[in-house]
Amino acid sequence: MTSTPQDALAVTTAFAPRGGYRSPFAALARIETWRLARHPMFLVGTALGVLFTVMALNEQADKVTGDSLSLPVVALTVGLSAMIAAYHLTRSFHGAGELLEASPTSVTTRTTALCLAAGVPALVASAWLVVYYGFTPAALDVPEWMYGDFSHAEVAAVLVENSVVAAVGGTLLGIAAGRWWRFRGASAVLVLAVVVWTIGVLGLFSSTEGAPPAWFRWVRLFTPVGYFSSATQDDVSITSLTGSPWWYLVWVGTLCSLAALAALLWRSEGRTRRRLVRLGAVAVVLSVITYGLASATGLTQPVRTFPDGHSVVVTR
Amino acid sequence: MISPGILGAATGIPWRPVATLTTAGLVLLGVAATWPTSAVAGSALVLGVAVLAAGTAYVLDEAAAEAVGATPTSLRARSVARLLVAAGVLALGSLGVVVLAITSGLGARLGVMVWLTGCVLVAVAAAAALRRRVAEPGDAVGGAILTVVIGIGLVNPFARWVDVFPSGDGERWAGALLVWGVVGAICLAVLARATRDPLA
Repeated sequence: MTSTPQDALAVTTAFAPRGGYRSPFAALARIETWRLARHPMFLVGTALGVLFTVMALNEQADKVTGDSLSLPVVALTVGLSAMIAAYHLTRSFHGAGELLEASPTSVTTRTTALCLAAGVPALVASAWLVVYYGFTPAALDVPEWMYGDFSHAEVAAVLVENSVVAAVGGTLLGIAAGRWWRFRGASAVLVLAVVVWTIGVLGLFSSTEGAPPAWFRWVRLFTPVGYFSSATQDDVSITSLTGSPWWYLVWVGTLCSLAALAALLWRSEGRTRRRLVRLGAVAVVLSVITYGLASATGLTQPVRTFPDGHSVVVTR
Repeated sequence: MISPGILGAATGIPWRPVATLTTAGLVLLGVAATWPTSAVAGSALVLGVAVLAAGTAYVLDEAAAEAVGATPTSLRARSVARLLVAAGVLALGSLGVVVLAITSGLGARLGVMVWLTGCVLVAVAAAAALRRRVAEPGDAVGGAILTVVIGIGLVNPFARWVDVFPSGDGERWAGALLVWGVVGAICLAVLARATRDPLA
């Protein structure tokens, strides 16, 4: 006999008739959102992100670094921690499977409610954008020349992708993994896979030492978190990298949709399953097209910009 | 099937995540050793150490904690038996670091064993402390260790004061040794307290 998790009892008692909820789905979504918001892993990750940011703003109060154009700290802390928390939340019900099968709410509906909880990491990640654009501390006040060949809007697209979209995508990926991966250590393997994928591609194909081979531009963006500007160590120049930030943002959005669809597909049946498979096929096609556009459009060669404003194309 | 007679109190260790993460960690150390001058060598090294530490977080998991708690073997004796497995993972990681130092030609790389040991101690101490509340703390501790180490390693927030993960000549080893010495001492104290028999 399996013990019933307290959270499963809380969910089932949510179906008891009470005023204020139009459907069980609203109650489920509220419960899952609250569970994610107070999950210890998510709170630790958010705290780390705040700590690292405050330390960076204090240390670099008199200079702007290349990280100001990509905000990697949000994806590393809020994104990763949300992914792990979402995984554990999804797995927390596996011991109450028989009980939940007796509930009137379908598995797909419960998974959808879980997916909606991604709004919490999105909200937290957007706080960084509020600080960036609303308060603009000295360390984030990027001088005009450091934008290189990109417009303010394009840099904003990169920041949104590396913060809000990364947090949402991490959560959705954690839910999908929680549905399909049942082995011990899966959350660690998931984090490892995402980090190795990201660091591997970024490290190998986004080098700014000399001109990279032309074909690098087709693979360097194939990572869930990316950057389009790279400053030298002493910030004497900045290199604008190839690709289109806007299409890259859209492409990562399609990845988020694929993660959500993968989660929803678990134990779905009949017409719902067929509909999800069709949507998944469309999402895959869109993903391929948008990735192609992200790589093919925008800058075709890296451009190096200097503080006096002049730029040179990086050549071999 | 694993024989309890051979492994004793370590029989209950979830071997799959320990073996998977240890293998992954060694592979990453191997990547850093094979391409020591590549752009990803430093990141692979930090990630490999983080993964090895995350693997040791699972050695104290006990799915049948309530049943095992009723046996005459004390919590400390059981914990020591399991921590030997963590020591084994640490030994394998240290061997990987030696290979890294040899292939890169940098003797300073041997110092990576310091923060490898520190990370492993943090993982097992956190798992031992959390085991007081949860029978299988490995998933939670492993994920937390990975996130924290990766975050510190890549963002390097303490760069102004200390190099937390030094790996080459000319880096601030003295500060790192002091930091990891303090961390190690705290972890050993936590381990000693968390593994004492609850009835003692």
